[in-house]
Amino acid sequence: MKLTEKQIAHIDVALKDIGVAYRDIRQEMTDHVATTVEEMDGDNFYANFRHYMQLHKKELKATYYRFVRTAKINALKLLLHKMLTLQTALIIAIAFTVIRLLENYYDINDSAFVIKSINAVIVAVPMLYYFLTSSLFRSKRFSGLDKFLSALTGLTFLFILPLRNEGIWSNQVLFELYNAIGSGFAIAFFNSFFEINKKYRLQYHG
Amino acid sequence: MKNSQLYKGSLNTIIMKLLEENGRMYGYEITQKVKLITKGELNITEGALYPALHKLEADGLLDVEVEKVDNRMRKYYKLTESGEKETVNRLNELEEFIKNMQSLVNPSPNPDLQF
Repeated sequence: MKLTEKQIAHIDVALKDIGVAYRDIRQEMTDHVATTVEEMDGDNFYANFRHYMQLHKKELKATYYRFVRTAKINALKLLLHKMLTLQTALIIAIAFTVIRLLENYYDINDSAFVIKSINAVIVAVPMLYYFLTSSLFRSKRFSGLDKFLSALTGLTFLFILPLRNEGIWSNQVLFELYNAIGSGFAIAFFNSFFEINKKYRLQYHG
Repeated sequence: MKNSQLYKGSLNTIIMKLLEENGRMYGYEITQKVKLITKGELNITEGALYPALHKLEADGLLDVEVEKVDNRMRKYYKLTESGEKETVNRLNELEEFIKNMQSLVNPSPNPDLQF
């Protein structure tokens, strides 16, 4: 028995109702459930589907959480990979040099502030982009991007924390380097976000 | 998955081997193929299969194609070039592992110790 579009939509809604929020995961799970139901005996789709859900609802939820966890880990691994590239090292070196050059004209805190402001803009662009697209088109919520951004918000906060406490920076060079690493982090974050976004756009046609 | 602790470490290799033989496959197809080959002895759950597929994809060993099939979107997985090379390595490792396990579980008598 091949399922109709209406029956597929019914599965999609049922998965959404049990908390499968992300489009990429739901599409793959919908296909898995649909294929399983198609293989079941009898032609009564609704009875077969109800029976399937009764048996597998708990398992589907658990699978969903594993999906989400894997998506987050994969996104963070990509960020780490981007952090450990020559491009990032070059950006850190450039940012470090810029801070030092600015110190000829401004004091160290003002110089660092310039770099921090640029970093903040770089980090804000993907966040704003995702917020706008996911607010305007709810269906565009993808697990990798969503989890990546929520994890990154936490990481960014942790990264900023030491910068807010000027008392701990007795070594000027370390302070400059830490700010420069912030630039590397911001660019790696920017690149990772748009790489994941591109992957989803290609796979799910927007 | 039957006796999951024993099979867990080999799941990625099983997936890669199947993709090497079949070109591209989707999740449900993989579970059914494994069931068929093992005559129902090994049942890979979706909770184990999909995270493994996604990890292999993130590691650059699998490529993905999404297509509309039978009124729904279907995600197909296939090996990348580096995935093909890695499959050969992992199969060799697995064969070596099986050989070692066989030696441990079923040791052949050592002629030096026989009287």
